[in-house]
Amino acid sequence: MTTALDLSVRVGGVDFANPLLAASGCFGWGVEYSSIFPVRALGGFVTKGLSQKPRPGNAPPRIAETASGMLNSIGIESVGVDAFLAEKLPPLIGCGTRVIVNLFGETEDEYVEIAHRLRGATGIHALELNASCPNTAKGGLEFGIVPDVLRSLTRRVRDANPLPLYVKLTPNVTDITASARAALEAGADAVTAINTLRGIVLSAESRRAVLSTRFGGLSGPAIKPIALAMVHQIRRALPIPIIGCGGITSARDVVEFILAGASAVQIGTALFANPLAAQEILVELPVLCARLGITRLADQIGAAAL
Amino acid sequence: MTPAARRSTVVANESYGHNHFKLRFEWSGGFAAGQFFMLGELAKDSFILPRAFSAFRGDHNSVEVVYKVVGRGTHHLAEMRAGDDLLAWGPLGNGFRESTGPELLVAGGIGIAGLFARAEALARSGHRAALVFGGRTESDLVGRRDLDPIVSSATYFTEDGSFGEKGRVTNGLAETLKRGGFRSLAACGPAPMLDAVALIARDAGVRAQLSVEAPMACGMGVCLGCSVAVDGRYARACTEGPVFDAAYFGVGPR
Ligand SMILES: Cc1cc2nc3c(=O)[nH]c(=O)nc-3n(C[C@H](O)[C@H](O)[C@H](O)COP(=O)(O)OP(=O)(O)OC[C@H]3O[C@@H](n4cnc5c(N)ncnc54)[C@H](O)[C@@H]3O)c2cc1C
Ligand SMILES: Cc1cc2nc3c(=O)[nH]c(=O)nc-3n(C[C@H](O)[C@H](O)[C@H](O)COP(=O)(O)O)c2cc1C
Repeated sequence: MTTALDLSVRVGGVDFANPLLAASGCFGWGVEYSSIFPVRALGGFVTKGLSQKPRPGNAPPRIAETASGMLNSIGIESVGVDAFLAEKLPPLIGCGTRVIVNLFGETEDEYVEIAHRLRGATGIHALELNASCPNTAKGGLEFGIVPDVLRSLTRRVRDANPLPLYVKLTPNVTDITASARAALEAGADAVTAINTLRGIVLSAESRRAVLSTRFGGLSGPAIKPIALAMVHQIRRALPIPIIGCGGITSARDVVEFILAGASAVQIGTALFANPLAAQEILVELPVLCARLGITRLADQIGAAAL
Repeated sequence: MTPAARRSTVVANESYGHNHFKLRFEWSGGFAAGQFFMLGELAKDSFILPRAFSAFRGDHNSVEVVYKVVGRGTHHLAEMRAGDDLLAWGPLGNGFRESTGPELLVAGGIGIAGLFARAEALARSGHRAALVFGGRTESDLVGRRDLDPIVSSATYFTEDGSFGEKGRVTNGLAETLKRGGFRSLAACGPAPMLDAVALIARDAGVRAQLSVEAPMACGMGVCLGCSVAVDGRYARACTEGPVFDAAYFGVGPR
């Protein structure tokens, strides 16, 4: 007989059956992959960034492959909060997993307005504040890079909606713990670390950037060591739960993030490369845990001797 | 047809003309003409985004794709052998609309891969299908032996004059459309060719369906990377396309 493995984790007041969540922008509105694997297999998922009004997104080209990853500048193409409540949310009620809505605004008021509109809506388990999208002209990055601005934004969203609030941090800063501290002080229940890193893909032939916006956000295995380091730094500095994200492709990666201090993880780009990735990780995870002598994953959070 | 993702097996991977290959993998469930599959994990030891390939031909147990070796993904694909594992998902995309009458097929280079299944479908439904197929040089005009028996006529163009008529597929296209009494047109090829074909079809008052290529990460409609300007907005080539009506093509958000 084998000992039962407990994969459940609790992050900022939300219970997840397992620590594997799908990352924002990489799992649509939660239904697109339903013919490939059951969404309830996931611990949860985060929606595409939700804006107040519909947004068309950036001009193509929007993506480019890089060494061990990709660069994107989607620019938060989104349906807007009205269409989300009317069309995207109802099919998710009772979907059997945790639904986290990723919020995006170009102004502080927009974020607050979306949070307010989502108040009391059935089927949402937490909000994730995307203060770190590097792809939009006005919004995104600015909120995430100045701790005082992030603190003010987080506090106002916190007051607008009582749901558990996760703040997603940008790695494009000197000291990510300062951002995490601002989020904590403003009442965030957890932080997600990290969003994409700013980069350029250049064509020597055309002498131009490949993406229409020149800059894009780097994701995929290339950023995993950076994400792990930042999870570790936040864990060291502050008593706030962390959702690790960045370059995860395997069960081994999941365990590494948890050992570094993450309470749960998100996978994004790996799902593009392999739509079965989440399912395969969840098959592999118990096997790996058994080999590593882990019986309760939640006991391993931050357990690495770093 | 909802897409599935499977760890499949390569049945065959054979030369299909100079620098082109035809790969057959195990797949049940079929596809519609104009749909495509994503093939993933092509670089075994390192991260790689999947690549999209038009469903070329298929039977109950397998699907064939035809590809030209141009870069990293197709280089790895060309190294695959019968019996190798292959991660595939599909069928993806909308495919062509049901045909209603004689149709002109316009292919540029490897774009023929996106039209072959259409040509077969037209042949099966008894509609006349004429092909104009162009490339830079003769070796770009792959699959002629498979095409000639299923189309009612085939006209070939090469830019260097090494085969067929010298010039581009758009040469005399307006004339051909008018003379042939075609009710519709379907095209697949490089973006400049599609733009030119769209204009000619519009002027001729012929309904045209264009199968487009766009850089694509997921194939499932979630990454929003493959957006193309259609009908005043950005549409996803993977789920809303890859086949778009020429009348709405190229018009982005204001
Ligand atoms: C819906 C859809 C269907 C497709 N169907 C097919 C198909 O049936 N057969 C097929 O071969 N490809 C098809 N493609 C293109 C395919 O997905 C790849 O982009 C292409 O094979 C190049 O991949 P790669 O990794 O070899 O090259 P990459 O490493 O991605 O690119 C290397 C270089 O080659 C250039 N390049 C890309 N495509 C071509 C081309 N066709 N000719 C010359 N240079 C090129 C790129 O711009 C780049 O500079 C399709 C694409 C889409 C979106
Ligand atoms: C195509 C794409 C779209 C994304 N969209 C969003 C988004 O809308 N909101 C957000 O907070 N993060 C977004 N992200 C960032 C991811 O959620 C994740 O933080 C990042 O990609 C790193 O994880 P990964 O390496 O596993 O992909 C996006 C990433 C990609 C690749």
